[in-house]
Amino acid sequence: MSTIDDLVSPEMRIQYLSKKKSETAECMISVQQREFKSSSHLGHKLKGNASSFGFEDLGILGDQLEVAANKMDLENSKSILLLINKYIEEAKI
Amino acid sequence: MYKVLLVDDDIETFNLIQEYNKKNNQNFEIDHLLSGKNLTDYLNNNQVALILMDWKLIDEDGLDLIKNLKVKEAYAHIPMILLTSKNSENDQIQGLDGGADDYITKPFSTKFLFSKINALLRKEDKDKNKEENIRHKFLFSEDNLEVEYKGESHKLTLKAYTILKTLVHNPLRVYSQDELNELTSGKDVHVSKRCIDTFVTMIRKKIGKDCIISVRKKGYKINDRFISQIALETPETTQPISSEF
Repeated sequence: MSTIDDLVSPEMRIQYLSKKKSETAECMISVQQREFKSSSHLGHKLKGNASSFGFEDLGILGDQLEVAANKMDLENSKSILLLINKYIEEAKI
Repeated sequence: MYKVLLVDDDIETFNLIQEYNKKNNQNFEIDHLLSGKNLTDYLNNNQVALILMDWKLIDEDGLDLIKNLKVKEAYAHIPMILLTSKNSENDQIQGLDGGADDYITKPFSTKFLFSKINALLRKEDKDKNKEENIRHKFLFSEDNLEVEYKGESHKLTLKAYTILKTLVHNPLRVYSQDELNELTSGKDVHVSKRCIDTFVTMIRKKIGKDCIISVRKKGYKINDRFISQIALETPETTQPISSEF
């Protein structure tokens, strides 16, 4: 079953990415202070809805972020957050 | 217009559902709560047809919220769909056994989600009609503990009357012997479970031997099929039917 929603407008996709970009930036600051809850939450949400907006790879990164954050793995969490940020910056709508 | 409530700390899920609802003329009113904190207040002030519940809310467990609602008479009838990224078989079993009426894993297609919503609401409508039909077939008279059924009046004892009235008013629900004991004798009164059996037997003798069914290891419920069939009977159909059928 396809989960990508054709009905999601480009405006919604742009809005979605913009929100995730700022949440990613906040998580970058939190993990530096060894606070992993917000990263785990962001990862969980990305896993749950990124592909509905047509960003399947972002959903996969979200899954990885949730796992790393739940393990309080600082290095992995940081590198996945960087990948998420890069994905968002380069995403084509 | 049906009102659907989404409880999800994620505004994007709400946006997705709302967008689909508008673009496809689904004709639902979608409301959104970011947490379960004001959930019962909201439900007390709104006529909600269905709840979409995220499992993993910030600092809250959506399945626990469902469990709490399902034990309350006022909300138990509302269909509740658990929305979650937890997608293992065990998670789904836990969710459904915990009281969710359906389970949808994220990411989901909104088209599929609305199909599920519509199917659950169709079932809810059918159940309501069925319940109403059954309730209308009995006429209870509190003053003299009589029940009129199929044009005949039956005098019952207070406990038998209470049991029958409870089962008829909630015809799709199974009542345990403990629940029926509590209803008829009070919360802290311990009576033999056989007591309830005796009253059920008494009701069966008066109304019909198949009017109440025993659900193994769970308790008793009204036999909705039996009651519905009786209602459809005409003099012709009560004649012996050929064994070919």
